Amino acid sequence: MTDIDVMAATLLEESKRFLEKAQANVSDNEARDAYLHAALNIAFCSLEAHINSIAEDQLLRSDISLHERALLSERKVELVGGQFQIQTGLQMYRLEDRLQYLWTRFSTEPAFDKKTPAWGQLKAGLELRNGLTHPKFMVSLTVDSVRQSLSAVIEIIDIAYRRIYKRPFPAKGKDLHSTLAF
Amino acid sequence: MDTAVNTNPLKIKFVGANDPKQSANVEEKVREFVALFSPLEAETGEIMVFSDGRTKAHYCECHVRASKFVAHATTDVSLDPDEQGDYRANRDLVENHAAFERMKDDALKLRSFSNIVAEYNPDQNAENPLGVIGGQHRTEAIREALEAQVDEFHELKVYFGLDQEQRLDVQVISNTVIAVSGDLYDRMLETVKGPELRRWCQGVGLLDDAEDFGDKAHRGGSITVRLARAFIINFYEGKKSAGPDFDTADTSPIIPAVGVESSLWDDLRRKKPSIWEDVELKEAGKQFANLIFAQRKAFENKKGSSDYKEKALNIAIMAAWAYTAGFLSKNDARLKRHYGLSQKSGGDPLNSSALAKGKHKTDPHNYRGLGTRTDAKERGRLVELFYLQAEKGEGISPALVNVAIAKYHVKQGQLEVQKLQKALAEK
Repeated sequence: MTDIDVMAATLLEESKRFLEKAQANVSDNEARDAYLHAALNIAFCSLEAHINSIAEDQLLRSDISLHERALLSERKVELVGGQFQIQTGLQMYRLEDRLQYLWTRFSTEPAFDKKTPAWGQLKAGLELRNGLTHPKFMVSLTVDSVRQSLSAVIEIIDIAYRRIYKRPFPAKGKDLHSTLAF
Repeated sequence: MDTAVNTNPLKIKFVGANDPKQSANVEEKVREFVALFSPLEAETGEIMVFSDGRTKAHYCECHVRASKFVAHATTDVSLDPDEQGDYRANRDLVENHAAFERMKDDALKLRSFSNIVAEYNPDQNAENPLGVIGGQHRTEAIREALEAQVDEFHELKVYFGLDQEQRLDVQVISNTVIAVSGDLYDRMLETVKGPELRRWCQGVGLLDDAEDFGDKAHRGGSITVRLARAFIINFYEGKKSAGPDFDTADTSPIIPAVGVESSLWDDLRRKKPSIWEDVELKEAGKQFANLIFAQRKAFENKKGSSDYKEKALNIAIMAAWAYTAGFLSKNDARLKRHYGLSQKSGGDPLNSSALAKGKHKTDPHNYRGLGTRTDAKERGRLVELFYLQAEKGEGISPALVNVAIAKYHVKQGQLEVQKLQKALAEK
């Protein structure tokens, strides 16, 4: 596995472990909240790592345009001397935009149905995560809301794998049980 | 012979140890059997009844027409008709086995089967008193052939007056089969086809002089017919796919089936009689023999590395290597680098430990790394790896393994799009 694959898998296991620890500390509010913050944040870090890993694979394709290559590698494109060129500067895209691009462009399946419950749960989770990373008001997380977000992350990665690679996401079988034991 | 008529009374001659009390009962049963089945031997005026020295069981060996045999025989035989009449002695028919298909085909082509083991026991089944203990597939083949008006003689070994112990003994020995492995079956079929494949393998070094193909695939053993066929088939498959754009070509090596007639191989042999003189193929064979040798040498005197030592003979690796050699046959520079893999120093040429760590994110948790399985995915990944290696010829590294695996999955996506585009264009 590539380094980014290992990183993506590790982050997911860490997130699940933090959720387990939050569940084990329901009576200790401070510990529970800290674990929930960690679980939610790291769940989305893992999602991003998985997306980056899929994008890295697609960069090996021979049938993608320069602009697509730039999007996949999150680099800027500029017109230099009459030609488009990929620059070293970072050009970020929204997580859900990259995800939708990947599973639309590199899948032969029909358009993804955004009414799927996992998509709604993912958006709800993203809102919570954004509230946590760019706080403007008090965000209170519950074990249930984080569990739902983490499940949505796993479900979305599985959908991406099935659409792009025609194979399931292997970690989905373990559900929310972490392989870590810290 | 079956038209000759002997008017003398039939003589039953007992051979071997004999109990006079038992022989009277046996003689009566033999006469019933002769009346019902008209064995060819009765026309000589004498039926010889032998006694098995081990169990004292009585039997005769004779030839019976299919029509008589089928009319009064059954394969529905119980092990213990007195106490356990519902439990069958015979295993179930293996309907889809290649050997059974061949048997049925042979029966239609007038095959005369032999050594069908049966017991004449009207007490168990008055309507079909001949219970077939050994040879139920042959019986079925004879039955089907008879429906097509094929009425040949078949040789039977018929037991009479068995007690329970003797019956069990006969059933056990009749159903003790030393299975013929698929590889041995392939070897037999290939031998019938001619010595060319064996000679070719000996010539390029895949077999030693006077060495025959292995009768079963196992680590450290001789290469099997299946491996040799896989090598040659994939060399030509690779050649067929060769073109400028490897990234969008469907590069999937094939593994011929084992233990069955291979139409793929037969077609190749028939359509390409020049195989054995093909200089390019011969060179590929020699180079692969070098790789096997180098891989084994890298693990000489090292304990616990038999899997790595024999890595080159994993059929997926062999097929993929040969496929790549065929694909690169018109690209001298890359082909040289492909062949140069066996010359890599500083570890084993296939870098088995890097292969073992090779894994894609979609692989299940129990996947043990590249070169451990033989499925289509594995073979496709290995072609990517050998092709990539031939780009620079710097050997196999963990990074190269990862890129090869990723490229395989990306290619599958591209091929899927091509397939859909083609289908759309054909509409």
